[in-house]
Amino acid sequence: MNNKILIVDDSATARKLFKICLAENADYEVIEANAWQPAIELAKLHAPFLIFLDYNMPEKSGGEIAKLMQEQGITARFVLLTANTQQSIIDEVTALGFFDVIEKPVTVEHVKALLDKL
Amino acid sequence: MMKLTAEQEDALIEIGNIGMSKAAKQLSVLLNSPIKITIPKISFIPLKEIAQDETFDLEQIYILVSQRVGKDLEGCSALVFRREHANILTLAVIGVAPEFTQKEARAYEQEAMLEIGNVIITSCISVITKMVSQTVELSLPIYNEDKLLDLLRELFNSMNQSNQNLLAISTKLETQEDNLTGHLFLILTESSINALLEGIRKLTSG
Repeated sequence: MNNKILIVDDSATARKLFKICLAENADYEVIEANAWQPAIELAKLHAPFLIFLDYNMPEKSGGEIAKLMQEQGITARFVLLTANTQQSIIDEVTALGFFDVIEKPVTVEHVKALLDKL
Repeated sequence: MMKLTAEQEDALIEIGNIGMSKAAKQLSVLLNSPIKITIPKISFIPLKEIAQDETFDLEQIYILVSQRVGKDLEGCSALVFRREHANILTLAVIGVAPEFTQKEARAYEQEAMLEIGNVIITSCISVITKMVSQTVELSLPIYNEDKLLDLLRELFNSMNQSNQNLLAISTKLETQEDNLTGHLFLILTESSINALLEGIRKLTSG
């Protein structure tokens, strides 16, 4: 397992907020993608062990991106990072084998608890 | 007219998205149905810009439930549905109504819409203000029905902010079956937008 984490979110603010939650932990390298195509390219290039995906994004949802990644042989653990935690969405990503769901706004405690579970 | 940088616009859309997603979740629970939500749009008033969304029919009658926002942030939030959707919402929330006269039924519906609006607006505002460590006071919800432009015009006039620019963050909420579509607006004064942006800036500077 390497130390790379990929965050996929179309919002630069959201990615910044996420990185702040990891800032105290120098063990991880965070790679960012703002759309589904660079996300897939970066996932193939860096083989992150963990991929955080926002749900509501232009063109493809976080669930759709994860499915595409899985079809292309990307074997990271997926975590949904979203404000949209409706049950239908949780059911959707659970069916896709997502490791966890973190509700926005993300906090240091949320991320730490998730990393401790791994 | 206030000018936003791309970074500021992104920050407002993100924080709007978080607030409106919470609202969508509440609506989903109330209706026991998944809700589709669009990525929030930012528009500066004049209000024709807001009404230019192709889903609005300017001749239709809409219901608007609004609450004024005061204290650290000033503005208002409003939930808008087509008039004919009010009974779907009322039934979903309260169930089959007893036998009412038409007048009683309308009053019952208004009451339900006020409650629905209050729950949804409060869930949106409270998560946003908590994120940026602001304190707000929300007025009691107010019900109105009219053509959309007239509703929005009355809303902005009631805010009495003629010296300030107003910015609206809006999103569309839709049931999966597309039988019900609503819009949620968060309208803030320029000084409040700056306060919000400062709050976000503090959050993102770690």
